[in-house]
Amino acid sequence: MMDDYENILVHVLRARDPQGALASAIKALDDQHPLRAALAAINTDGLRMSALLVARLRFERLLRGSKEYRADWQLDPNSAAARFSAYHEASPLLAFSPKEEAKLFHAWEFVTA
Amino acid sequence: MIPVGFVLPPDEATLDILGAFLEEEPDIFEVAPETLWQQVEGRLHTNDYHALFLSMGRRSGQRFLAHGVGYSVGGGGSAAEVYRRAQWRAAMARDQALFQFLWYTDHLGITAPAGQNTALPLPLPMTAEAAECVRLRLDEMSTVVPVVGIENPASHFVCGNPLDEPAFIRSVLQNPSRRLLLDLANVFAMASNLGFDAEEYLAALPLDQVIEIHMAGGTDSDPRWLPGGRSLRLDGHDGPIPPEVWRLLDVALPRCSHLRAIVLERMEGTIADSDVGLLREEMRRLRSCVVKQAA
Repeated sequence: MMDDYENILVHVLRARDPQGALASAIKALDDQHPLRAALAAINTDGLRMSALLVARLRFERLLRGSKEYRADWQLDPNSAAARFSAYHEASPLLAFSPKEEAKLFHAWEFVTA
Repeated sequence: MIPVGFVLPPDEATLDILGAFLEEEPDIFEVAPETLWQQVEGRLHTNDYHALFLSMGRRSGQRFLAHGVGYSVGGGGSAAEVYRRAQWRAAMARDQALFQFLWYTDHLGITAPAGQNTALPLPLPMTAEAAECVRLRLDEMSTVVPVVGIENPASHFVCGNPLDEPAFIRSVLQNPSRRLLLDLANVFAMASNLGFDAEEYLAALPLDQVIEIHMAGGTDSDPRWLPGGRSLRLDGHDGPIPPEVWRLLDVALPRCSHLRAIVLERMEGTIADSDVGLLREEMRRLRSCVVKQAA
């Protein structure tokens, strides 16, 4: 059960629409699944705020880790934010340090360019 | 007398601003172990703060407490997670030999779900399986630092009734040697956000197992962040301790019979020169609360 919970959590928190992703995840569980009631009890505002904070912490790691991205952010924040959002949605949260986040971000940009 | 401590900030500018404050005010230092490390290809190596903080402890003679975020005490047993936690404990063991941490706590929750780093502790389902998982992680941590515990969370959502959480915490801490780090700012934030009575939550916690209390301030989120325009209390450690949290300290302190430290938390990067006076006042007020309690 804990493995299911962790997988749902990371999927929902990185989704563009966390509330919709949670509803879909609950629907995909069978009726007797022990997580159903627990997930249904989650409040929407709290879920959205958690998703925002996870993204914000990742964004701050990237800003600290990449001079290049920092410069882009100062030059054109809207475009830099859109690039980060696409990266955040598409890429698992594998970095633990700013340097690693920067490396993964630039590798992702290279591959998706 | 119960010592009053401060969290060492891993940030040069903040350390410069704090300067004499760090030499004069704290009776004890707290560090987040992960702020002592940098990860290079999965391995945890020491960073520059490791030597700096160690030298600060040696110079002042102050003892250290370890309080982390990243062990992911609610995390599961996948091969990748088992490996990651083994790396973590190896780094902790190396540092325990140097820092001689008095105890080691982490946040109740998951910070590495499915091996991914959210950096934000996320709530657990309040089930017997989840409680057993945390108990196993605490057993792992205690192989490195004998005295271990968890901090009550500041979750923005919970999987159930938030007032069931104290009972869940009790089941996690069923081994009486395990400890609770009581974060009163977290209790206040959760009560504000989830709409329950903070004192009712507090009364249901195993306060006789509290080893340490955290005090901190925070701010409310920007109303533009949520579609309904609602603000939530954030556990940002970025402002003065609010009156509600001081009030909770008055309530909790007489009931924490095994308390061994109170620590003031303030996030690096949120301290200006003009804040140092306030931090001194907060440290001294905490010390006077301890003295009053001891009398």
